[in-house]
Amino acid sequence: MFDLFLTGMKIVFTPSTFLLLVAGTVLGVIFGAMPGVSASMAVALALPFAYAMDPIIAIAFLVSVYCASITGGGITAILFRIPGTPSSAPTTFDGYPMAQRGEAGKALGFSLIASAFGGLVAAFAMALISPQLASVALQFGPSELFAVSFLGLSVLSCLDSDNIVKTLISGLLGLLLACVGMDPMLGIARFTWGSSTLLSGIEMIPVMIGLFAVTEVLKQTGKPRKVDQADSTSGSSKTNTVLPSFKEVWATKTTMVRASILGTVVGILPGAGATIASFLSYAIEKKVSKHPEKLGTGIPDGIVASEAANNAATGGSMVPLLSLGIPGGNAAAIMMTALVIKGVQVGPMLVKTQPDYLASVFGSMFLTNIIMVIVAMGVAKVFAKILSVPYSILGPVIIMMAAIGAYALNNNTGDVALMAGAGIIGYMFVKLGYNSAALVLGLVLGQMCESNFRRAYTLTNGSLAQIFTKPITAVIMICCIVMLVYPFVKPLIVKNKKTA
Amino acid sequence: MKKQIAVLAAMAMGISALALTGCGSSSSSSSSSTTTTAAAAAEGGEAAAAEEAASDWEWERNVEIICPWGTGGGADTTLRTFATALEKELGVSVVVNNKSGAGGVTGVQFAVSQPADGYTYLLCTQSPMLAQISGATDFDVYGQIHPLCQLVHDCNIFVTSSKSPYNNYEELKEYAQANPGSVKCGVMTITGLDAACVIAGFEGDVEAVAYTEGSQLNADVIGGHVDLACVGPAEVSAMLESGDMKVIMTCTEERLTMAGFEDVECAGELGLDCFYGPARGIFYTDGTPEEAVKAFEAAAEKAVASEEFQTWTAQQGLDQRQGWLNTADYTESWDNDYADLTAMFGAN
Amino acid sequence: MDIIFSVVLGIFCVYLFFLVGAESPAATPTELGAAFWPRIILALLIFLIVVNIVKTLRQQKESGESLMAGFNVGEFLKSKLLIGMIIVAILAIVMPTIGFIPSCFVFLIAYGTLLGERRIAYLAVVSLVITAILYLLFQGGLDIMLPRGTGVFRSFALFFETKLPF
Repeated sequence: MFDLFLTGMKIVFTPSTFLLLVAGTVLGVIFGAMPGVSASMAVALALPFAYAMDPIIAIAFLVSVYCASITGGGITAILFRIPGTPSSAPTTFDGYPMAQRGEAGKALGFSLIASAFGGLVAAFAMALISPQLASVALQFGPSELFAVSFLGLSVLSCLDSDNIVKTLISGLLGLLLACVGMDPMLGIARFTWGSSTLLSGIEMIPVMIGLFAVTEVLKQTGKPRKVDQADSTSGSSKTNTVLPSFKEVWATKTTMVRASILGTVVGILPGAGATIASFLSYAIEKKVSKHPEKLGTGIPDGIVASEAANNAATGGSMVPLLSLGIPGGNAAAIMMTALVIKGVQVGPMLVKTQPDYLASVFGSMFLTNIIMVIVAMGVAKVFAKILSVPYSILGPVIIMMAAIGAYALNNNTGDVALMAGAGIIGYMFVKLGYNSAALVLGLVLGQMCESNFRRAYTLTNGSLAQIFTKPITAVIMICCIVMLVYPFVKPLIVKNKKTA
Repeated sequence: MKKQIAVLAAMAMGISALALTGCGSSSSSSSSSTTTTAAAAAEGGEAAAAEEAASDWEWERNVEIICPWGTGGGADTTLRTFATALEKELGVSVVVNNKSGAGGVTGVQFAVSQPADGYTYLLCTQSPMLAQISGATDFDVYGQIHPLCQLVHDCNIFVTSSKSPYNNYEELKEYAQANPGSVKCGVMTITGLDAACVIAGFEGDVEAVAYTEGSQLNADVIGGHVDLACVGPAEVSAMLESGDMKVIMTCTEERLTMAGFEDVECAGELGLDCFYGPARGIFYTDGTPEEAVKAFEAAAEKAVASEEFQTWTAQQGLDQRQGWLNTADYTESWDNDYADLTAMFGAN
Repeated sequence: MDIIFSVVLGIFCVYLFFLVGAESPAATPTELGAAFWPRIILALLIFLIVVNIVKTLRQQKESGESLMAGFNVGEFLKSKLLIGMIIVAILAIVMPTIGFIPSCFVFLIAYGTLLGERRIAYLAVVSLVITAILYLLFQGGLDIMLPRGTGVFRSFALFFETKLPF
């Protein structure tokens, strides 16, 4: 272990490599902050540089772009309510309200510290117990993955305790939207009415951007005048980037550790990923938090839960790549092809025969997660300047950026229409007391939930008993049931105690 | 206010400067090589007929090739490598436009909607055609696009966990018949070429199960959640090398020449009619000028034969089958695939 | 208002419930079929929507509110909000036809005016600059093929693409 650490540091602290990693981090943070440039696209954009490098340095460079881009997504999520990458969508729930209160600096600070912490936890987990983690991941087949996604959904019952019925309706609508398009198992068109735009399914990125960013601008439009005045004065306070104090950060320690571990584990599971990790983590935070009602109103815990988890998941997704040769996500897959072109086959044999690669990945993750905090703060300051532009200019630009973000996903104008629709319908939807977070949760987890259940059903030849008696599945399902039933039973328990 | 705009502009410039170098591979040779067009085309010499037709067409502006799949995937990297080589032949920039969605159908539709002026082409595989055959889309993929040339032809192989009780096709077949309904094979599309291999290779003894993520399929094979997987050799080479997986059979006419495949039986020697593998090629739409198609074909042949492209295919393990096919040969193979796959999946 | 929304949604769900059954083939012993999962969701949805309607009706009876309480149609029709929604919808509809550059420029002016910017000339200049920045950044820098539009607009966009320095 110590050897590995030392080799890693030796690689990344070579002056030329160090500079490359700083460049990679800057690039990653900026790409990540751009709506429409996802983490995997950021890695793809960085490929031409990597081709010119030595393979050991190339992988370190790509890893730094990848880690940093996931962090960059949080910046626009907090400042403009546009999640730069889908995995930072839950960051908007608490980050944006904080920025609205003039605490943008604090929100960004929490987001960056949590990101760095999550990333470091995953880096150490990867370096120390990669083979063990990989063998755990192999235990997760379709039925177990179904249980994991169902665990995420079971949180629906407590997302908003004031209006359980409407929250559940919202979540189910999200699940229904996830069904649109080609059915994941048989390839049959569902709810498409012959349209090819719908055949690709309801993409979550346009829906998220529409529901969060466009709805917000519409809300500002609907407000009576004078908004301009108020906004530009509060704008100047928004640009201040006071970092959270050590004490404040310390207060979120449990959340941070929990989210980091959860993120690492979910990141390792093939078929999950950073987006699912951050949503699951936010949902679980909502469940176990001492003050769940405050989540969503702009408290650091929400930001920490989401950002620590998505960064930990990036580290986690390197585990199956290095110990099995299976890329845990699109970004990892692109890294793998890049190295093949350099004549290097990433996999367990590589780690065994040339431990320098593992050391390089580890070293890069370690360094990137630290310098990222400084780099991202700088980038965030530049972005925050944009906030002081008058709203009559900023508002339209936000919608335009949202449109480009939705479009760039598939270079498809159908997604722009989807985004506009999500924004307009979403506005009314929220006005009527429905919950857009629940809807997005359903949309994110829907396909994973359905396809794995049906896959498990086919694999066991249609035996439900076999699915639910698998040890891991059973344990997770019991947790789900407890979670689902608890909000309904809780009042009864309280009542009983009072009468007793 | 002015200051803010200045900040915005400066930032944007900074970013574009950074990104500029990032996109060098696809668009860098635009200006430098324009003048060499005629010279490059004339120098060739061989394939005299095509050459003659080619000279009837002058490339005046950027050529655009639509990729119906996203950045960084197999189709995209093949196309980008090809585009870089093709630029040198055509003398104008070749731009890749990714339009993904609906399993490739969105990109095909977009290509068809563009004016057929000889400057817009499409990269395609059998998948969008399969979406039409299986009834997932009403769009007439087969009727609206026409094969121009094939670039690479990948193959499918069957892999299983190294812990499985069978080691080759015979043992697997025996095991499947002794335990009916127990052997499942993971595929990426239930109406795709991989599923076609399962049907043609095992005649009903093995059932196909669809996966949405390739990574999950590979992990499920190693973890023993699914018995077999039908995949491309490049995706699993690390797992074969480490001994977590073993190969049952390759769906090819001849044994593969790659390291580690010397002892693996192929469908050809087992007498199975199971040779489906993804073929990536260039297509044109109705109304594209014939001279342009001819000129493109001639240039593409040289681009595919270029050292650059050939080195890349060897690295990716895509050199196991004849990659280049001209318009006539590719049209024939495309029509055959259409007929075979319609017979297999066209029921509903 | 909520009740109207719920009823419409409920009816739509019932329609979808039958639609999905008609669209997909029957389940086999080892495959649940494409209709299985959506039907579970739809059944739950319909149930919850009914619960919601009953609940809201009961609340309204208690408080004696009317069906349209808390929502003024006349005001909504005159509000900037509606115009904002229409502008966004138009943007999404015309972008494929007229392409990115014109739609972005016009949209920025239109929405800026809606948000209370009076100096049209100033707004036009700013919009032009922003359009240029976005275009250079995404089309030029990030290699994203922004929509070109059709016909004349396509030639217009192609003209700019050939002028890009990279």
